[in-house]
Amino acid sequence: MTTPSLAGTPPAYAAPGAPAARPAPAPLAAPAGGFDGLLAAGVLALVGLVVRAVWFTPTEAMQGLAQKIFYLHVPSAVVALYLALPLVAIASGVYLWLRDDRLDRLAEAAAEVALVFMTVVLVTGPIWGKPVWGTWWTWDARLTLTLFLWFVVVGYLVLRGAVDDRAQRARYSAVLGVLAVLLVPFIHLSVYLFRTLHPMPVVLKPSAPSLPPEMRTTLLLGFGAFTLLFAGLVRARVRYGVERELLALREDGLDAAEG
Amino acid sequence: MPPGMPPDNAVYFHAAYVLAALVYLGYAALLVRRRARARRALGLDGAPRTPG
Repeated sequence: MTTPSLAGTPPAYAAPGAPAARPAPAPLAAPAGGFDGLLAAGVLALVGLVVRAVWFTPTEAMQGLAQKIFYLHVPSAVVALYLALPLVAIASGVYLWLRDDRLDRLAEAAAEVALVFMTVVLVTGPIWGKPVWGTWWTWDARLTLTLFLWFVVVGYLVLRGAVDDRAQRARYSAVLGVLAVLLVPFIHLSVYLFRTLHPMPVVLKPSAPSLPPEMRTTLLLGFGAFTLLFAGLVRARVRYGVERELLALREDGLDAAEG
Repeated sequence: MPPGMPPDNAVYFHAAYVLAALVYLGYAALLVRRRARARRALGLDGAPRTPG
């Protein structure tokens, strides 16, 4: 079986006095196909977490079963805000320096997966808020900033779809990817800086975690499960990005041959 | 509700778990399907190859 690849094509010409051309990108090789073990492990970890949270973690006395939404809501938020979006920013920042297309693909994949995680945060939060706060939504700082960041990530992905030129698309979206992560510290500190219904952190805080041991164990397993799921989804999305690019290159080649 | 009993809000708990599962598993399935389609179009997985 042959593996499609495309060696980097040199620029058509270089203007006198222009900076030296960047090195040609490495040939694009088709990623491995077949069974995706990491993604399967992530999905299985998620199923295991649900089993642990539903059947092997005690029900909280004041909030009842609704408190168990915590084991989905908090790890999803932590992975989105402290793993996915910083990854977008780091990959974008290093892309602006090295102009390596692999970093652009990693940033795109991490942003798309971050959007999925943030969507779960914004869906499960109001469902938890209704029985506990008595309202689905309140325009306080943490909720509003999280919603705003969700729109910024949507904007990042829309921008990527709107720019045809590959290098230009990567450059513009890298700048937005770096800027988007600046909202994360504001979201983290919003519960300290503003009056809010949202509870203070129970784990990510300077003092010791304030949770009973069984609940803390389930929460820590949640962090592990969602990190594994995140890794599996990002790797699959990066691989899809390569395959989509190979397909586009092949179609461009066919168009050029026909023209 | 008798005092000391946790409130009955299971419907919210079920709704959150079902929706989160739909989002995560739906996205994972979408990625797997998109990849399979792209690989078939590239002739990498399971597609009949034309000679030459």
